[in-house]
Amino acid sequence: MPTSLPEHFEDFAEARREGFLRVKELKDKGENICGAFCQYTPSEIIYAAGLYQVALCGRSPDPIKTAETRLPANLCPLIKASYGHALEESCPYAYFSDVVVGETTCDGKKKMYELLGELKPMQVIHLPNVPDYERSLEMWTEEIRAFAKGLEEKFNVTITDDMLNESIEWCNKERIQAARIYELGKYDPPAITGTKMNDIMEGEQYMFDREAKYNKINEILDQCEKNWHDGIYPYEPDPNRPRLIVSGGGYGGVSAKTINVMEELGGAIVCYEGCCGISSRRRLVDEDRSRDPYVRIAEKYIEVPCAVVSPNYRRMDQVRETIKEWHADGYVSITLHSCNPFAIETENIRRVCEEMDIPLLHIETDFYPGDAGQIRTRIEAFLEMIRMGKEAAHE
Amino acid sequence: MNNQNLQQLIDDCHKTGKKVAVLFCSHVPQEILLAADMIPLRIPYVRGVKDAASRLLPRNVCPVVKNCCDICEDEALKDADLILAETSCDGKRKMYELISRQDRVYFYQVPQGADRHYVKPLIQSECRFLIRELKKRFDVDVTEEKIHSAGALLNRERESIMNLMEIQRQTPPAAWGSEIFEALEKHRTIPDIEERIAANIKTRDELLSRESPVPKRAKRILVTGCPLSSIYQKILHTVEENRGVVVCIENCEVVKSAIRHFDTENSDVIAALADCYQNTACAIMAPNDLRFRLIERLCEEYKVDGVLDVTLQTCHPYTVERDKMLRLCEDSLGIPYMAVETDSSEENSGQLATRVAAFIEML
Repeated sequence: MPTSLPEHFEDFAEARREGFLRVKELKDKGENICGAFCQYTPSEIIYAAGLYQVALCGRSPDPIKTAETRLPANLCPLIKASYGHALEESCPYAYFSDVVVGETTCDGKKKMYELLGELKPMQVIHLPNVPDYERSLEMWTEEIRAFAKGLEEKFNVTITDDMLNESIEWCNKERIQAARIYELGKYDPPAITGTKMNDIMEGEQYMFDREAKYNKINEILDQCEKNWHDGIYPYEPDPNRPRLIVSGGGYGGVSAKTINVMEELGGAIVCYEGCCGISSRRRLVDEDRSRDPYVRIAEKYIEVPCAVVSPNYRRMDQVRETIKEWHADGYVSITLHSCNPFAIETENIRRVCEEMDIPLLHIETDFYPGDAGQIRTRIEAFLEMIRMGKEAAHE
Repeated sequence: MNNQNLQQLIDDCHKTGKKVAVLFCSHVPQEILLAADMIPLRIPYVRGVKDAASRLLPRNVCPVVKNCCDICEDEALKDADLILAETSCDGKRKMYELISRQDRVYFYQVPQGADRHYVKPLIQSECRFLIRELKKRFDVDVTEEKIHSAGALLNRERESIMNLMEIQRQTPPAAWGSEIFEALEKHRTIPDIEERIAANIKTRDELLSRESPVPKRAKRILVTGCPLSSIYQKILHTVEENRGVVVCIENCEVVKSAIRHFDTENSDVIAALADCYQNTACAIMAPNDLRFRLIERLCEEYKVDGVLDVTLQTCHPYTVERDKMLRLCEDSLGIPYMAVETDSSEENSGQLATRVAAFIEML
């Protein structure tokens, strides 16, 4: 069966490189750029303040050496690369950011922001640790209000409720669209490859015309669905192809040796459960305009089931649901070296997988290529094991 | 402390008819547990507990977190009534989610935005939630009077620790720093707080009543950083075997927690608790100006020649904060600074000794 790709796919794969030029154009036009790291960043407020948001998570090993002149070596590569870029001014996104938003997710980032604040104008957002409405919502709402106020003062703008409402509705619309990308993975065979899902989600962070981006993604999704119904699949139909869920935090810098390899070796990533996946997309901000928009925004983000919160019951429920809904055969947790929250939480995920009777593969890695061969071998064995199980079940 | 001491300690506590709450962090307001008629036990590093960490945790986790995990899973802790899981650092917080018997675990939230005005109200509300939880679990009423008297009692314990540390201000200091730390570690195994206070006072009197064993020329070292309980032997002894003397221990077992004070004059006891516990110069706080101000003050009070920042492997709060500490000591205070990173094994002792010796020689 010939495989065909919707024509805009390449736009997303190229978006990060292209984005450098776009960001410069925006600067030249006098626009303000807000750099951000994380799904906890309340984009609603950034957009309501008239800023353009860009992702700053480091994904290259190059600035790590520089970062290690100030940071400990035994620290997550994403934190080191992000700081290193700012220190050596090697990332145009960080360079052009008029303000950088740092949410105090993990200890490493929280403490790194103190140093980053010496290099860039920063707005730190403190997260609650216990994601409980009764205990933490009030503090969290205040924190979001303070963030909005900080942007208002810095950029001399007034954020009205109307602006927030409009922003909330736009962001919801984008979330619904993003969730739809993962819905394509529910098909059998999936209507989109996991690599392409990842390209879109990575690329869309560097496209700044939201309207055009929205339409482009819609075209892709429509095309994927149409192809599937026409019998044109991105994978050769294969009843024994392992359906995988990939999870973890910040794997942008390691996808080539993990995600791409899983698919190259005959697996299909059907969904991403984790900070770049459905985690933040399934929950919308309440659109009831009669309620305080800051409270509604706070409610959405307090429910982000990131590994930094404790106890993280919502994540375990989400893992369970994702496995069930996407009919997954295997679960892959990708964690970055020295990332305590995601690495430790993988043990709890292992328990959920055991309960659901599917195997778990935990890959811990960093931005250097040294472990690529070893990871490949482990992925190969993992896929082989799942495949044998499926073949036996089909006989 | 070893596993048998720990089990014995919990047994001894139970013999008094009281329930036992274990905690692993200075952020937990012990006054509330005392006021609930429980015995709060702040557990140090415990030797001899059965390994659970290598099964439950990634290898690259701080040794304190691993030890807490082992303790929570060990037989020695089987009779403890409550485990206070404070949300301080990522490692501990996430580890608490994995231990068995989650019914004994209560998550106590530690706010970390040190410069936020809602921090005190949040500590207050967490105190109230803890009180509510204790009522629910054990049907105990925590009254204001009880918190007040617990605060007064713990103030005396904190003062007894500070008074013991302060004998090091003299020239030469009255004792080896390791003698002081070891005494405090030993006294931790006394369940009764009054007796613990008496033991601290007695040690102080004994150390003061003899001639100081410390040579005048010994370099005066301030130790700061991660909890020391798992590594004090190799750190403090290494300093003191290499022509140094530890004059001040800022770490959380000593000054960091003992310098705090519960204001008994404040009629709002919950507010007094928040004031007391907010004053914790811990690296999980961001920004952690408290610690920098504290170090500055201690360097002067204890006439410090050099600062030794001791960090444990993968403790991101303290290891990332090293860069700022370095600049504070060397650029602002003009005091030589060295950071060492270690774990609880004996493996790097030789290398550690070489570095510490070189540092002291340079002073």
